[in-house]
Parts: sequence; C-alpha cells; structure tokens
Amino acid sequence: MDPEKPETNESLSRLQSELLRQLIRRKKRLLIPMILLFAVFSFGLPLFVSLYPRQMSRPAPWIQVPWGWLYAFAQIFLTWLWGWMYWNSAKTFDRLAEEIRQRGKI
Amino acid sequence: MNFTYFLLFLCIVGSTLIITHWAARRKQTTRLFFIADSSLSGFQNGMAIAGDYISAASFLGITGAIALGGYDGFLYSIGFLVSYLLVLLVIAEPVRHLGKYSLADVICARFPGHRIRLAVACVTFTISIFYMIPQLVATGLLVRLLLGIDYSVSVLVIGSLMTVYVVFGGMVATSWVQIVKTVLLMSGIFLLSLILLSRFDWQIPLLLQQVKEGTPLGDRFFAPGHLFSTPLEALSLHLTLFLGTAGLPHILIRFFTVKNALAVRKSVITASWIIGLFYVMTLALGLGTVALVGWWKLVRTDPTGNLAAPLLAEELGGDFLMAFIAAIAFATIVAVVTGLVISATTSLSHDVYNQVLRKGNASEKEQLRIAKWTAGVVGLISILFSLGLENINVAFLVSLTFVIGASANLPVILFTLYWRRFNETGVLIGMASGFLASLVSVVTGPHIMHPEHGWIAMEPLFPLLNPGVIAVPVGFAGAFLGTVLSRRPVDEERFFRVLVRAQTGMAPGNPTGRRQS
Repeated sequence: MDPEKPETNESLSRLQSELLRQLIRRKKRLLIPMILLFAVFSFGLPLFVSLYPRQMSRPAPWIQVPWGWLYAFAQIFLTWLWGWMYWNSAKTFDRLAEEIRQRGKI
Repeated sequence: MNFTYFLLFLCIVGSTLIITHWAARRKQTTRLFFIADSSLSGFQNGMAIAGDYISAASFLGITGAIALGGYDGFLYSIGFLVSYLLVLLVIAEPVRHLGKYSLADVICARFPGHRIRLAVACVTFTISIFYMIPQLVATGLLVRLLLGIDYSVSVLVIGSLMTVYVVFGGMVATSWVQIVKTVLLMSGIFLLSLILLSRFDWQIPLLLQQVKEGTPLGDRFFAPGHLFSTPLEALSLHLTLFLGTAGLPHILIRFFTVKNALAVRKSVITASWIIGLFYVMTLALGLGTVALVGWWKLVRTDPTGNLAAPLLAEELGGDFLMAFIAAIAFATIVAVVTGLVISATTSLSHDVYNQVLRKGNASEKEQLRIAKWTAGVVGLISILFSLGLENINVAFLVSLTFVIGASANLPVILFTLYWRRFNETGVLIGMASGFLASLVSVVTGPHIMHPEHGWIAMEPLFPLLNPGVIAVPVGFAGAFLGTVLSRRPVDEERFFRVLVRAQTGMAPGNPTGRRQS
C-alpha cells in the first residue's frame, strides 16, 4: 500500500485525512505480515514435498500422520484462521471508513 | 437410456428453469441483469462464489487425481483454496468499491479511456471462453457417458440451457443456480462421505489400510512425488493457483452483487469455508475410490480418473446414488458455465458496446437489449467451439485461464489499487506481456507439443506443464517496466481519489460522500 501523504489532498478535511492515514497504517500493519507469513508458509509446501519427499513422508511423533499431510491440512486451517483474524480486525477498519464517510460532506 | 439418470437430470433442469422464470418476472434493469441489483447477502454470495468456482475439474478431476496420484492430487486442492486469502486480504473490498459491473470498471476508475477498457474486456472475454469450452466439452462427454445421448445433442442442450438462464434471468438466475448447485454438491458429497465412512465402521485407519491394498502404489500412495516431475513444476502450479483466482473476472464480478464491504468479506470467508470443506470431503472420496473401487478398475473405466466419484457412488449406493452424483456433476458444470456466460456478456455489452462504442450513452432499454443479445451470441460461440472440439483434449485450457488471470490481470489490478506511479502504459504492457507469455508458454509447452499425444508432434520447446513461474513474473515485469520506462507524469489527484474510494467506498468530490453507481 502506498498512501503517499494523503493528508496533502484538499478534497478531504484535515480530520478525514488523519482518519484515512490511520486506516491505511492499521491495514498495512495487519495485512503485510499476514500476507508475507502466509505466502512463505504456503509456498513452503510444494518446495518441501518436492525437495525433501522422504522426510515429508515420515510420520510425525504421537499422531503417526506423515509430515506432508499435516503440512497440507495446516494450510486449510491457516486459511480459515487468517480469514477469521482478518474478519475480527476489519471491524476497526469499517468503523474508521464509516467515520471518514460520515464526515465527508465534501 | 437409464430412467433414473434421466429423471434426476430432468429435476436439475426443471428446478433451474423455475429459478430463471422467477428471476425473469422481476422488473428488468441493467443493475439487476449485471449485478442482481447488489441484493445478495454475504452468505448467499459466498455460496454462489463457491458454486461459480468449484468446476467439473474440481469435483470430478480432483477426486480422480487423488485416487490416481494420492498425496500429489491433494496438493491441487490446497492451491485452489489458499488463493482465496489473497482475494480476501487485498482484492475483494477495493474491487467492490471501485467497480460497477465489470473488472474493466475497476481499472478504468483510475485510467479512464477506451484502450484500457478494451484491453481488459478482451482478456475477460478470452478467459471466460477458454474456461467455458472445456466445461462444455466435459459436460457433453459426461452426459453421453451416463445417458447415452449423442455428444452434439448434449452440448447443444447444455449450451442452450446456460444461455437461457443468462438471457432471461441475468445475474439473479445465475446466482441462484450457483447457490442451488452448492447446496446440492455439498450435501451430495457429505452424504457420500458418511456412507463411505460407515462402510469402515467410522474407523479411518481401516480405510487407509484398504487404500494401500487398492493401489499399485501401496504405501507410497501417501507419499509425495507421483504427479510432479520437478520441484519447479510443483512450485509453478502452486504459484498459478495461489495468484490465479484473484485475476479471474467471473469471480471478481460476484463482489458487485452485494451491497457493502462487510458483505464482500462475508462472501469470501463463506466461500473459503465451503471450498475448504469440499476439498476435505473430496479427499475422502478419492481415498474411498481407491479402497472400494480400486485403482485398476478406475483406470480401466477411464484412464483420466474423472469417473472416480460416480464409480464410488455406484459402489456405495448402487445405480440411484451414482445417478444422483452424476446429476450433481451436471449441476456443477451448468452453474460454472452460466457464471462464465454472464462474465463474457458483461465484458462485451457493458464494456465494449455501452462504454466504448456508445460512449456510455446507451439507454437503459438499449443496454438490456444488447446484453441479452450478447448473451445469446456468447452461448452460440461457445457451443460451436465445443462441438468442434469433441475429440480434442482441451483440459489444459482450464490451467491456461488461471495463468492468464495471474499474469495478465492480477499485476494490473494490484498496481492499479496500490502503486502510485502506475500508469496507462504499464496497464497495457502488463496485460499484453502477461497474456502473451501465458499463451506462448502453453502453446510451446507439453500440453500442445508432445511427440506422442500432442497437437504438435515434437519435443516441447517450453518444458513446464504449468508455466506460471515464468508467465507471472513476465506480467509483473511488463507492468512495472512499462510504467517506469514510459516516464509519464504521475496523476497524484486521481490516484488519491482511487485510494480513498478503494479503502472507504467514498468518492471524494461526490457531494453525498458515497460511491456513485
């Protein structure tokens, strides 16, 4: 995200600009780590199973399920978990966006 | 012809036609036709997105891929699912805020102009047609196999049905056909999974033991390394799937059918749950096929493995259950092709006709008339192509559409939304380079060039079946270099307006403070 000093634009009031900057800052703080972490975790799956097929076929201790399957299932649960985390955080974004709109008889 | 099959197929056709009739009785407007007047709830739209997304390739193909390739088959489904996270986090809400009816509206919110709109419309149309043809061919083959009806008649019937849904019911009928399909599909495979597990006294270890005996792979069935020849191939496929969904226009236009960002979010999360649960159940069905039907019988019946789910159904519940699953497969394909027809129709009638040829001045009545005619023409084109491609393997077109989505559309969407310096030259070069890289790498790849079973009998010039690892960077590089090298001045004001609108839904300068639509 590249807001590039939105406060300099004259079509928004100073308060709106401040709220917009806050919204973008909060989104960046949440989304960039979420996307990076998920991308690394997700692309690790095809890489690990291709480069280390033997290790990924070994069963994990206690549950006797191969690491490769655990990794694959973890992707499904992580997708849902990330979705839930975003769902929760997005309520704040909605509040800020609504406030910007409410103040926006511009 | 088997009467049970015929009856169940007729039920599907009948119920979808009733939906279309109900949709057609509403007062027709362009908003209703293209985006169902943004009247769907987030949950309904999530079900419709799942219905739009889970194609025959997913239902029949993935079950077969798991039955034949074990673990590697399951990797496909993971790629399809995780792509929704990217859609949720960075694409869905801004697209909803910026667009009106089509993907071109989103890009043109920042770069208004006919050239850009035409370029986006062309890519949208191509993706829709490329995706639709293999679906229609697959339906023709499926119906021929199950009902014994001639391929041409099958394609004509299904092609006509999808056209009727869109012409008379527009997005309302399309959405509800997709919702009904999702309910049928999920309940059908849930039922199948329950019957399967009950056969093994609800003990998964027993099922897994039987799987080892049902495949020539034995213990190795559960290990990776049966479908992908190199790590690069596996990585390339994952990259294509991970990024591709966010560039598929028929999925993106579904976000216009709900009223706000909250509903968009709910749509994507609902879809990701449905699709995730679907793939978990598909895994059970793939394993069940190996355990109960056996690898040998599956390959003898259909070497591609696409009949895994119907064969398992027959094994578990006899002729009736097999007919039920076949009818669900039919509904699956019908719902997907209907979504593609409306996507192609929107790009031609709204973008090309109304915005470019009529400069946005076409009356409401004229737009509706043209949209309906366009849907008819799109249906006809797809039917004609599919009729001519009966004996040709066109399954690669599905992966081609994902590559085009990831390499031609996604870079442009992302840069439009988030890169201040991005400009029109970047849009055009990015789209052209991503599109051409996808096309060339597929045409010169093993799908087309193969010494034994390729359209061109020679060694492939491009070694990968999944060219995403090359095409996607080319698309991004094209958009980046086109922007940087053209050295156009940055339109700060317009970028700012797009940024505010994308993030808040508010159009600065609009006296109401709300997005205009």
